[in-house]
Order: sequence, then C-alpha cells, then structure tokens
Amino acid sequence: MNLLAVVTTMPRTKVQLRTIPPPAEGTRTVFELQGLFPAFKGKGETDFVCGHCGQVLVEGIAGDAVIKNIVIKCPKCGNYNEIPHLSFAEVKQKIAVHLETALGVKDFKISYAKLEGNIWKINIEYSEKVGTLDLAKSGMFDLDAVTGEVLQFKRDSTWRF
Amino acid sequence: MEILIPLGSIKEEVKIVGTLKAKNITALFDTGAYRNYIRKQLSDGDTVESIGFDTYEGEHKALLADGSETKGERIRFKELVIKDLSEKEPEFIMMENLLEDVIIGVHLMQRLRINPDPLSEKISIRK
Repeated sequence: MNLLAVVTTMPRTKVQLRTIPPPAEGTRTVFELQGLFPAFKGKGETDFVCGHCGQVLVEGIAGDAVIKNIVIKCPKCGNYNEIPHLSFAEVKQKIAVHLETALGVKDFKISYAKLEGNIWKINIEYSEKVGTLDLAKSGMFDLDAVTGEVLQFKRDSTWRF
Repeated sequence: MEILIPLGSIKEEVKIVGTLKAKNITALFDTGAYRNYIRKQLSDGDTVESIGFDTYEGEHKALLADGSETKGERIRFKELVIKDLSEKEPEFIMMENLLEDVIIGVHLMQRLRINPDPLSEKISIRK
C-alpha cells in the first residue's frame, strides 16, 4: 500500500514594511540586527519583510501581537524599516467604508477616539433617516490600527473613557 | 525721550512624543493664546500623523485674532517635554493654517510654571 504523505501548511502573509530615512538620534527605537535575525519570531501566520530587499525581519506574528513604534535596520541591505500603522486619516476612511456598506450612512463625525495598544476605540455620531425625521445616532468601533480590520461595531452604544 | 524697543517672539524647542516617534519642534510661547496648537503639516514637511497621536477628541472651533472662526481638531500626544519639564497627554488643537508649527498657550504655561520673558525672548521656569 502506498501511503501518500500530505503536508498542509497554513498560508503565510507577507507584509512589506515601509522603508524610511535613518531616524534622527533619540527619536525612534531602532533595532540593528547583527547576524541574528529575524528580530522577532512567533508562531503566527504573518511575516514582516524588508521593504527594499525582502529579507524576513519579523517572523510568525500572530493577529493579537502588539509590535509598534519600532524601526528595524535590515541586516542584509541596511535600510531602515518601520512597522506599519494606519494613519488617523486611514482610520476615518475605514469607518466611512464600513458605515456606508453596513448602514448606507455617508456623513458621520468621530466624537472621541483612543488608541489602546494596537486597537483604536472610537465613538461616532451620525444621523439616520426614519420617515421624514433625522434621528441623531451614535455608535462604537474597535479597529485594528495595524491591519485596519473592523473588529467590532455596535449601534446605539458608546465607549466610556 | 521715550525709546520703544520692539519685542520679539518667544520661541523655544520642545519635544513632542507621539505614538510613532518623538520630534523636536520650535514652539512659540504665546501669552495671547489660551490653548496649545499644532500645524497639521509642519514647516519641514513632516506631519502630525507621522508623529502619531493616541487620543482624538473631536472638532474644535477656534476664534482667531481678527474675529473670524476656524475649525481644528482636538488631539492628545503621549508627552510634551519643555526643557526639563514634562506634561503627560498634552492637549493640542490641530489646524491647517497656522503661522507657527507649534504654539504653547497660557493654560499650560501656568500649570507648568513657565515664565515667558519678552525682554530676553526666552522662557524661565519658576521653582
């Protein structure tokens, strides 16, 4: 009997980091790897690779891992790489897309937002048409600041800060 | 005869610590401003977004010296360092069209006991 060994592996996600000019002294935490890399190794499915040469700098990041605000100097090509993080403008854009898709709402205001770890906790205000009335509504979001994924949206609820 | 000496503006370098990086910026210490302000895009091309803020507190209407109204957004960075003083979670109004990169207002100066001296064009810290 022939036994066929089937090896299944989880699909890995490669995230190309953004290369930046060498940071001014004392402004960033910079990891300069000397022969020892990747800088971080985990059991997750996401790898961060150098934005210039593709060298794996961070391997196996799990979805809930928090690595931010650091710069890694690539040991292969010497470029400085920044861990990705959504700008606030991108956060607003993600919310706009979600609200329009879920509720058909185009106009909204962010009344408060707080970055906790890698999660933006956001309160929003918008108006909803009910018959001829415009009703003031509120909602709360949890949004992943690295991937941009909407983790939670609740209507008629707000975060308490 | 009375001699009038024109007074310059009081500017000092401050350090803003954000979620993404820390940045040294020249700030105007303005006794005519109550709050702190920061320009959305700084004069060197860098942006508030690239420094990173961790709190957004909504829109803010500001009244300018000429009486007109303009809109800004209230944000908080992680820390503001002025000389050897530190303010955690400092509030700033982020605006598009400021003449200065950063303006430090009276409220913060009072709390940190910062004394602006128009004659020497420097600040001093009251002990």
